[in-house]
Amino acid sequence: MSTIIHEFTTSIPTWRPRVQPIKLDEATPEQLDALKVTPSNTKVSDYVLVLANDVETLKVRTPLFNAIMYNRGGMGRAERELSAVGASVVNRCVYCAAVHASRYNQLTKDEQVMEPSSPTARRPSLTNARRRSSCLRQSCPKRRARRQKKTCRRCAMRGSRTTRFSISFCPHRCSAGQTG
Amino acid sequence: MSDLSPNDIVITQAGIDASGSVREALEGRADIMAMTQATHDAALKPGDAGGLSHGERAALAARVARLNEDEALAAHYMALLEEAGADEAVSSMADPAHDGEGNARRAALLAYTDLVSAHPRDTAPEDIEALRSAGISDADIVRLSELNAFLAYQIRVIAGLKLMKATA
Repeated sequence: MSTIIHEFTTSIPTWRPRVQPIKLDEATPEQLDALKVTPSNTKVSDYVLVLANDVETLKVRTPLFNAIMYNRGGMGRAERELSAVGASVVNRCVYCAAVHASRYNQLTKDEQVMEPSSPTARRPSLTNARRRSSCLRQSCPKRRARRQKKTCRRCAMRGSRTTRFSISFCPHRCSAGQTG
Repeated sequence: MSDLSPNDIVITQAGIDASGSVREALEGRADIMAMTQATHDAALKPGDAGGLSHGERAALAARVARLNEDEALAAHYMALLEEAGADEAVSSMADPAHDGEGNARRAALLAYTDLVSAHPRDTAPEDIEALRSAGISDADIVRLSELNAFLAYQIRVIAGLKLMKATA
């Protein structure tokens, strides 16, 4: 016997739709295309099958969501999940909060932020978030460079020698990069 | 990376200058702005509108913009309503004071829209049942929800950009 969860949690509950998901074997070619169903990939979640009822919106909103959550530059992955947790809590969506909180925990390997009742809980602050992402400027390639530990393309174009940068130093000396 | 469209609704509504720091930030997110525009078109003017006509979508959008006290955005959706050539019954849905006047289907669409646009945390399973009881199909419930989801997003992006502009 399953029960409905009303309290916030970081373990993802089972989600069951209240409206009818489309049936895969009755899906139109347009729906199959939007669902990215291929012979080797026939597993589609009920959530996406519900959205497929409005296939034109599904086709554009999935890339939009992905761009907002995963595109390069700006806020890091964990910070975006943290923001999504905030929005989920405001809207009191226990399921969405659990999904984003568990992703945050996976990404940061730190479960304390999502445990406000814990005595050791640290309140996430904008100051901390800023400190972690030392360059906020969109055009600054530092983030990528940090991850790949490669030469900065822009510096190479300027003819400078191979440059490796530390986390706290932006090779372009853009002011936002010096906060670390 | 695509360029920003000169007809981008969000950027126009936020009144972002042709140059400056906010414009630069937006140029770095040109892909998101283009996808936002595409989602607007899919939610407001889909090729297959199902049981939710272009006129009804535009009227509901104007209503939600007004509930969020964004008259300029409401004017944009009133123009779409005009374009759709909707009758008076549909046009009246754009007025937040109007509750559907005895038409069960329109009353249900309006009640659900008012609820999810202004008080999303108060939604309950009964709200889906109320739509069904008014004869609205599951596919149209999803269409209506996607329209509301887009408007919630769009209104917040516009508000955020206006704030960036004011503090730039």
